[in-house]
Amino acid sequence: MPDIGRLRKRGNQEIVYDLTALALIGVYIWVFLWIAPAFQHVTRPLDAYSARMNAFGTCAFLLLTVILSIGPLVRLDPRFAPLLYNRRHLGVMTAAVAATHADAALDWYFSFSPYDRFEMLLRGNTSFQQVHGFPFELFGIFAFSVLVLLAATSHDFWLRFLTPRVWKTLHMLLYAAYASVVAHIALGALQAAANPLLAIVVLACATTVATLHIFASRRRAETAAIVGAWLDAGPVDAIAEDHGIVVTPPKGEAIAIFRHAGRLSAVTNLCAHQNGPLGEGRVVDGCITCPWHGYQYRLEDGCAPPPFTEKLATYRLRIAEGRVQVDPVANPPGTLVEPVTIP
Amino acid sequence: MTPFFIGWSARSGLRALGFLSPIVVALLTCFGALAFALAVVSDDPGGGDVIGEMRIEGTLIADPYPMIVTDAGHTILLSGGGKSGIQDEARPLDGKRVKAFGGHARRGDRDMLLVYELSAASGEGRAPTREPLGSWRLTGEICDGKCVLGVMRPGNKPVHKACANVCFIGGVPPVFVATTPVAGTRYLLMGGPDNRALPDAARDHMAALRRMDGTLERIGDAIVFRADIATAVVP
Ligand code: HEM
Ligand code: FES
Repeated sequence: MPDIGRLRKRGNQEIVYDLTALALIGVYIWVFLWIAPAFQHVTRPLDAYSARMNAFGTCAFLLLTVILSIGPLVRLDPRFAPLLYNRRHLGVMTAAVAATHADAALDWYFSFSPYDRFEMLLRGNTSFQQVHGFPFELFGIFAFSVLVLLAATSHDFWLRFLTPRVWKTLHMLLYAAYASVVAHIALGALQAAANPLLAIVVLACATTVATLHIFASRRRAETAAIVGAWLDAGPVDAIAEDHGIVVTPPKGEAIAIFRHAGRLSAVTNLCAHQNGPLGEGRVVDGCITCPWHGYQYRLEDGCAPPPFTEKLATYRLRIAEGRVQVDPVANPPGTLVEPVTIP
Repeated sequence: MTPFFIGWSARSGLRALGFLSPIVVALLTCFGALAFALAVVSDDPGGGDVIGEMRIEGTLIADPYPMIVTDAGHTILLSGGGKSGIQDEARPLDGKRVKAFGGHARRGDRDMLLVYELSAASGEGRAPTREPLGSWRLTGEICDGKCVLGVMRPGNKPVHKACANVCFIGGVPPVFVATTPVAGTRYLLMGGPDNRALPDAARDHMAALRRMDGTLERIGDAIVFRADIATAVVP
């Protein structure tokens, strides 16, 4: 089977993206570990392991904040879309940064004892009944496990193996991981910090992520009205040439309706790649083009043009009194539905 | 029409650059500034440090935790390498004259020897001066003696709790860091009421502010706090 990722032409974007992400991490760690210490007001410097824990821990948290903000940002302003294109690489880099943090913690706090360091990580602190002194490491371990799981399954092989739906559900765990990191910091570092800056930064980041998601979710379409066995998708004029709209039926997946060369076609709103929102894409070169990674599908049958093999479910359309109506029953993926000509 | 970005198309990538390059620059600046700010506000870990090596001679006291009192009456806590104590080596030498060599950790007026070598010395052990100081209710933090004297910076507070427990489990002598000086010092050696090591229950009270009851005794020039862990409360 041809591999879409490999066959599609790759611009220099991926390299630019990865270099930018690495620069972000590089600048952060360099300033934290090599520039700032000269300006600290301390009797004696922190030891190198603690400094590394703090630098890489906070860096991983900030990267997670960026990653989780990209989705709603793109929804609010499509010009952010390029940030989404290689989000997976950013995720893998974040897992590596978090691993450096966890490794410093294990090497320092949990080593040098007669016992195994992983055993000590779990057995060292068992004060579950306390807030001030809670084994906050557990929240870190959970978050780290999620990051590793997602990094390990980030390749397109796993996407196909698990199906996009399962893969996407799995990636929702990232929200749990983020909440867990906030708990990790709140019950750990913040219990000891004399300066409120870390608390302020963590609160600001978590608030930003939450607010962006609330605003972006407001932009979701309302459930469409039912007309007999059909769904009302609004006036024909509301669909711009080469653009799409999203219709949400009372039950089942959202439907994307596109207008191209005076004709309308409907497919599922879920991209066959990573379930990206096709309705927010465009028609490019006569094909529906996903806003996330640019996978393309033919308007009439939802099939990716050869040599690609992805297929989308299609839907029947009709126009009644200047309004578009869609049959909410999906056709099997790849079913030919002749596009409806706009009168 | 707003531009539409397609990752695999070089043309649309270039168009995206106009909007995104200022955002990337802002992000880089923001990361640099945050790194600087977060690193600069690091808490002061205090003045403890490992200041070299030392060779000492004196009388060994094995309980509640191993220590050596020199002829000049200076009391030095003993710990093993890494996160382990040296109870097993010290026990047979209890009350005897010994010589020892190892790393030297110091914070304020408190010294600890991180023992590399410990053996009997010629001459008799000399009972150190002991002065009971009565019953006390003290507020402070139980820390692992090694880290708080400067082997790790910082070596206290909740982030360090699991680490302190790993030291405690390994037998490193705990030190009580009182919030205000007691009989002239903030760093008290610790033990249980029976003059043995602190019980396991102490782990729930490690590296966090607690108030607890106990008795004080001066041994050489150090104060030993024999604490009743069952009385520990959050002040
Ligand atoms: C196995 C997993 C982990 C372990 C064992 C662990 C352990 C620790 C420890 C011991 C500290 C206290 C360090 C100190 O202040 O001296 C800490 C702090 C922190 N951790 Fe983790 N951690 C883990 C995973 C994570 C992950 C996945 C993230 C973020 C994505 C994270 C972010 C942080 C942050 C931001 C701090 C506060 C640093 C500061 O004081 O400035 N940790 N962690
Ligand atoms: S989700 Fe990746 S191209 Fe649509």
